[in-house]
Amino acid sequence: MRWLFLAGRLRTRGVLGMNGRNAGALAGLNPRALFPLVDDKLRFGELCHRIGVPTPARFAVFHRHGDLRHLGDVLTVHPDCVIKPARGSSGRGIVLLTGPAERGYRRHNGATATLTELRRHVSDVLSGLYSLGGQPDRAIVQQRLRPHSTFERISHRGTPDVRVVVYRGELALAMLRLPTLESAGRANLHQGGVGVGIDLATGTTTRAVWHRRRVTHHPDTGEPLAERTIPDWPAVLTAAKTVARATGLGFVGVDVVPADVGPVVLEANARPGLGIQSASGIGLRMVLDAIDRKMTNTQCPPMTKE
Amino acid sequence: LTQEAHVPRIPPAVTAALVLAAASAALVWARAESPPLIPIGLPAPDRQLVEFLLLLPVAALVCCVVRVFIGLHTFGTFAPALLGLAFREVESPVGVFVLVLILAAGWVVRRGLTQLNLLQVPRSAIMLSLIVILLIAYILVAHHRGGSVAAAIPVLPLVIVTGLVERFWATEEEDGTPTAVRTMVATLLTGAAVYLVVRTEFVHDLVVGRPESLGLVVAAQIGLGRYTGYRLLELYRFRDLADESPEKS
Repeated sequence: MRWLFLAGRLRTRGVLGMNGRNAGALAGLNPRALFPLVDDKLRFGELCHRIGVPTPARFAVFHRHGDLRHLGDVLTVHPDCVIKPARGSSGRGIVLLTGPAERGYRRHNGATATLTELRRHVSDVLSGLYSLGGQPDRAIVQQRLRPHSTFERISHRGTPDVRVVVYRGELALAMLRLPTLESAGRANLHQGGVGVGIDLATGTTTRAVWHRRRVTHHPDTGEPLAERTIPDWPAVLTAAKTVARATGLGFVGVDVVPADVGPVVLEANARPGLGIQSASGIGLRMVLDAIDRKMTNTQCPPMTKE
Repeated sequence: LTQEAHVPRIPPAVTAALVLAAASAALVWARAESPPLIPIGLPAPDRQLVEFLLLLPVAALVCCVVRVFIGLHTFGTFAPALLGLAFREVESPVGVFVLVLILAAGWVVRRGLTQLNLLQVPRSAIMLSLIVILLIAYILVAHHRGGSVAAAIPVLPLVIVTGLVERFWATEEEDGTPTAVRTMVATLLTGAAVYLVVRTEFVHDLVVGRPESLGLVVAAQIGLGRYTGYRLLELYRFRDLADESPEKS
């Protein structure tokens, strides 16, 4: 019986469920033909480049297994880099290297990766082990972003980023995603990252969740998470909005890294997760409805409901 | 409130589902006295294939229910459907035991294969070959001990089992052993649910006896396709949000 009441309360709070997201928001607003534009990091990088939004510098792209012999040369020039699948998801298959080590390269977690191991990893990436749908993929070697000094004490290695959900070109919700010891450098919530809600108007953090439960302090560093200000907040939002509008997707999550050099757009997601609701304490359905209402006067048709 | 809210409008999907269900039910009723669509004289192997094919949409429907109403995530969307149908052909707990055993053995071998730096597709082919060897070994042992052989082994999902091992391993590497085990348990549970549904006499008589009723199955699938309510596991996931008073909105 309690479950029934729970559903009612969630509805009152305007919480968007996965079925509501898939059948309601995504089906009408995100045409599948546009998915490759964000799913493929190579195409997405080019899009960002075209519209003048900062994105990580690309050092090399591996298309075929035959290219693998060049990996050593690339890493000699750029030992501080990120190796990632072009069509990966949820941070899968991403390796962060911070510099050369005695017998190979130092990873962000302090371990050493030999060239043989990295070659095997890139080979797995090319075979599609980490790509959406298991299709053959390409591997990108790109610049490793250095997080802004604000985040030094509230993230464990890895790269914290800001996820901004943009609905029909308007800002909906934002959260800061912090890597933890457990998430191994990745900021995704379901891999053990901490989600911290951000007030859109001020860029100040509000509350946080870790493993779907509320927390007040970072699990590894013990630092309080609320009342922190994201550097360059207006620039973060502008970048997210510009990219979201350029993709043509009506419901999109844009990941922006507040780096030491300013906000850099990392990637966009055509199927943004719903954990942002727990992080911010605000139901998405409520926000999306408000944006729909705001737009009823314009020529755009409102979002399909139920 | 917009004006549209006052006008009750039936979504086209619901209309389609209702029309399809009505047509299908009418067809079943109209042909109630006619001989069954699947001829009784069909040879046994053909009959088995027809049964498998007809039960597949039902199995897929069970997978839909598990995903949309409960929210369990499995390895592959319809792998549990094939698993469940395979359980049905096995008709003995030994088969399930064999399956789990193969999964475990495959996992060990997969660990070893990592050391060889192989390409993914040949690696999967090796896994398939090794699983075949394990199955043959099992058949020989079973035969030696005088047990029934063909009935105890689900031959069909061999490729699925190989895929399961590969997916399990990749998930374990990326998301940790607990996630991999949880997804595997969800896959087996969904397979078990499929099995429990397709083995019932009601489902068998309806779908195999009256294939006209497949329209009802598709209608149910359309209905599920437009369900936008919460999943059971989401009630748990967002329980913190539900327990708070909505003071901030």
